[in-house]
Amino acid sequence: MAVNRGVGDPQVTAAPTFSIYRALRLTETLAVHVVVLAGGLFFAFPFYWLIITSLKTDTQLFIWPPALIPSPVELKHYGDALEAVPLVRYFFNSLYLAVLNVLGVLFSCSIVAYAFARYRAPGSRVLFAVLLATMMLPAHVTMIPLFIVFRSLDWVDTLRPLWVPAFLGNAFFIFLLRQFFMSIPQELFDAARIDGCSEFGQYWRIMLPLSKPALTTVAIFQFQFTWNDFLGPLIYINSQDKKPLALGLQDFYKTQATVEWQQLMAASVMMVLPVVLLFFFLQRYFIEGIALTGLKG
Amino acid sequence: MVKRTPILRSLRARETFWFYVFASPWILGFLLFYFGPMIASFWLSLTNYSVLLPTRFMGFSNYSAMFEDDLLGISIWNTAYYAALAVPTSMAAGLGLAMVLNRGDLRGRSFLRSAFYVPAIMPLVAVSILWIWLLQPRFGLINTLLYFLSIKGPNWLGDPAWSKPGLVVMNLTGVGINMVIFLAALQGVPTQLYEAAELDGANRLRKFWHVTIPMISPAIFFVVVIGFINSFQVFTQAYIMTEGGPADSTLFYVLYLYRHAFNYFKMGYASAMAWLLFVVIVALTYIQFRLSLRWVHYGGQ
Amino acid sequence: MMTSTFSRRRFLQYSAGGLGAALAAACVPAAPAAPADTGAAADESMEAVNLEFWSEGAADWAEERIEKYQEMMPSVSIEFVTFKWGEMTPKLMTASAGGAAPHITRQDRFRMAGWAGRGGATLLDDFVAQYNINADDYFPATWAEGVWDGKVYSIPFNTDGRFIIWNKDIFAEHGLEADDPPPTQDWEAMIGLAEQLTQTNDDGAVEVMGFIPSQMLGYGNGGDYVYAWANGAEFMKDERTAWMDNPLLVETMQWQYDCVNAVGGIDVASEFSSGWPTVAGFNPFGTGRLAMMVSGDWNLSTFARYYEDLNFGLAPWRIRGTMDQYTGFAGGFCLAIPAGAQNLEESFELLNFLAGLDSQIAHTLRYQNIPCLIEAALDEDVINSSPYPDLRRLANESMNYANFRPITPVGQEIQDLWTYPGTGRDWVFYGQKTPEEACVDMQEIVQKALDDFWASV
Repeated sequence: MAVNRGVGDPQVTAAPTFSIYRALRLTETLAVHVVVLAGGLFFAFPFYWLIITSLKTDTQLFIWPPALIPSPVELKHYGDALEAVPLVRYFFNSLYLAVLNVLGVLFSCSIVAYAFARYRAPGSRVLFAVLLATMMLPAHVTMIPLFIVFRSLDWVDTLRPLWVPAFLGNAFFIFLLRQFFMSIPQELFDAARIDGCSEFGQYWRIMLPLSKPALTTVAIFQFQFTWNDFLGPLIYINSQDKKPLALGLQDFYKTQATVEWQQLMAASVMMVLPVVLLFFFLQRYFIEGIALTGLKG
Repeated sequence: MVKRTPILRSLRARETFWFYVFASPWILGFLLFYFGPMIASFWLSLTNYSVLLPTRFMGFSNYSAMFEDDLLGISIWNTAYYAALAVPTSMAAGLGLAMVLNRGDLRGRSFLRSAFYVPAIMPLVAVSILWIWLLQPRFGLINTLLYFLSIKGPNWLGDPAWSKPGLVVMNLTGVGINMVIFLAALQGVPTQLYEAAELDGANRLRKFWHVTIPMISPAIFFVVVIGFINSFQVFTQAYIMTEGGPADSTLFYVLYLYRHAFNYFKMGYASAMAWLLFVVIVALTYIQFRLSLRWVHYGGQ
Repeated sequence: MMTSTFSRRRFLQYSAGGLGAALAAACVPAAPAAPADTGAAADESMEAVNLEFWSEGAADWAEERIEKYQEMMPSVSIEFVTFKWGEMTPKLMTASAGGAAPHITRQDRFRMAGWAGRGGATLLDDFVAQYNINADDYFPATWAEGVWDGKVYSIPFNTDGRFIIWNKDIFAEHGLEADDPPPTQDWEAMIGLAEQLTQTNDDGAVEVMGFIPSQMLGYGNGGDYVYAWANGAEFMKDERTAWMDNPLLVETMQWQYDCVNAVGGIDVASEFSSGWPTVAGFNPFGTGRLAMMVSGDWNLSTFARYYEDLNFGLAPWRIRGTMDQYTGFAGGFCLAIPAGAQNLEESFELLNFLAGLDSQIAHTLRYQNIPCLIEAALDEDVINSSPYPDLRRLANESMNYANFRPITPVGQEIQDLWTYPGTGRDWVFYGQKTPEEACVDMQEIVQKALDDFWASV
């Protein structure tokens, strides 16, 4: 098993003996760096914007076009935000939900996707169509009936409606993982089966290890979706001590005309930062993915 | 124990058994959380359900009323227009970005990937002000960049002809999502395929076209199918940023549906709208699956 | 492996109760808002009553009041839930449908007819009599909006007025008498003034916008109603007949359109206005880029906090062709009890406390709105708490003659068409329809909604 180096890797494609060719490659590499760096700065700008807005004084706040470097810098909004709103509590609620949701979809979606990718059974195609169909009806019209389901379970104003469904599959991730699983050669599993590996073992010992990039994708997405989910908590949570961050940010909207903008931005920075860090640490799995050496092609 | 069960002797029966065992979490989830609400919403689409008043069965009159709703027609056009622009652009941008950010010779790759992912995780309520500014016609960042390219940028959100492209540009900054999917897919392309292609004298474009694209075609297919499903339900940007304006140019289907459901107490009509949308997306997805037989290659088969 | 067995056991547990629930969901809407679990609740009510209070916006003031109430009433526990403005509706609607509505809401007053007309609010007449609540104690517009079909469904809480607000420095630059209110009674003169005060640079970009008489293009709030009322227009003929094609409305719209053309046309106006956020605090008026706007009295505290150097005037809008008759706009919130709430006695007792004089004053001192109780609004402490006491007094007193939006279950439809971006007025501004055509089309939409409503009652 070798590490896949990626498409444009010079060690794969460059011929080291031609110096002109090398110079060209170097120029190209440099150009790519410049363009990507510029693009990266542009894309990171919203985060920078959050930070500078959280540091502005009242009189700087509404200067238009906005100042890119706040002066003077006012740090107090972070303290004020933490004092005005129980952000730490909200943070741990969000974390609790995010962790459970990630575990839930990693398990449930991978095993269901495995079923769809690996087996042909009577009704499996119809069920796959039904699976996709669940994504096609706007949530606004199923919201009330779904609320009635959760109310009959007595789950309103608990965190359960916000994480239990993750353990029972999610169409988006099942479809995503199915696409990845179907790219993995069937021969691997047939061979394992002949060697006496159980069906669950094939899923656990072959499919999952081969799908680390895809599972990482699922983990990142689900963490972020849960972290930013607003509508679910809005509908199901009443108690302040059960609010997650995305809902709790509303506490900074005092009236229609009064919004504590700097505190809101400060809280947003605290909310976004963990997701950025999570992504930063998880994205390395997109380098260490496994090339299917010698199996196909 | 399993092997002794007679039913499981034939491969086919065995596959059926394991399919249903492994798919059971979702089947259960579907029965618990989707099936009832979906049926209920269809039933409500046949009524004048207003949430509060006694509900009366109306047959298909909500559906026939849609034909006389001029704004509904406009919202369908807006939505189709948006989807036609948003899906290909975000697919191409995501793929291009993933290709570049997968290069082995790229320094600071982790930071750059994270940077490109940042807009995808920003809560829109917090950065909507930023977007007003970025798209500001005179001193906004985007038109300033266009100015340096000697292009006079449009009045993005104030001109009915440009408001949808403006939202497509906004949507493009969420391309980190597609980038991640393609990054994951690229890790599954065996290095030997590129080496073999090189031995055959293939240049980079040919390698991209004949190796990369077919190998990641399942992911491309996913991005396109999901892209259409989501674009046809586009809501948040218009809800927060443009409120349907100017001149109904960003009145998207689900935004209009939302108004009926929660502002006008017409949940029955909103449900009928939802089911019309449902039929359209199902048809579109079906066509995509039929077409996919020609261009999507599953290495597993 | 652990996960596997754990989950499967879980699935089995849930499948029993849940499957039935899912099936039940298909049938429940036939009997909406049916109160559930009355048995269990009744047992507990002997000792402790748990009341839920849902409020759109403004947490801080109520927390204090609620604490105070709980000291007085140890047997009552209160769950206080706040929302950003506009976000409570989907939740309230969902909870009402699911039989989980709260005991008290603080919600948009002009939407009350929509809730009350559809049976979504509890009739308060008996409580009003029992607690000696007197309609005359409230500004007339605010009380009127809580009444549907002759019955009281809500108690007014806070309100806000709409005024012409002008930048005195810009007026002085043009040699105008900066302290005199603009000639709002003379619509031709206002068009001339809008044109005169608009300054463009060499590129054709607007440096200072004079005036755009429309909420969405002109950065104010609620002006569209004020102009209609100043022209004597009404939106409804009677409770079953809409009047969006009222010639006086057509005339109003024509004037708004003419004014947009006078400042350079829709391209110039929309380029100016699409560049500013429309969220709280952001306003080209504050930074001296807009000479006049029609907006609410809340700007007083916004200006004081964020735009210290702003030199502005504020006055009520005159009725067209008169010098000493004014019109205004009373927006704001009320307290109500949703239909199906339990513990009505306890609920109203708390409501009455929260809507009472002390609470209204506490809220005003914190957020500088206008209390709906006249006594609170004219309280010297309240007026002097404003950074601009004179203007505050003027604003609060103006609520005596303030107008209010049509009391109808289709009020939201009228509002969306008449004031919001996109639909309705944009047809005219963007040259898609003439004011006559636009008003005829609006009439058709509103009348259909109205017919649907009356057919369903």
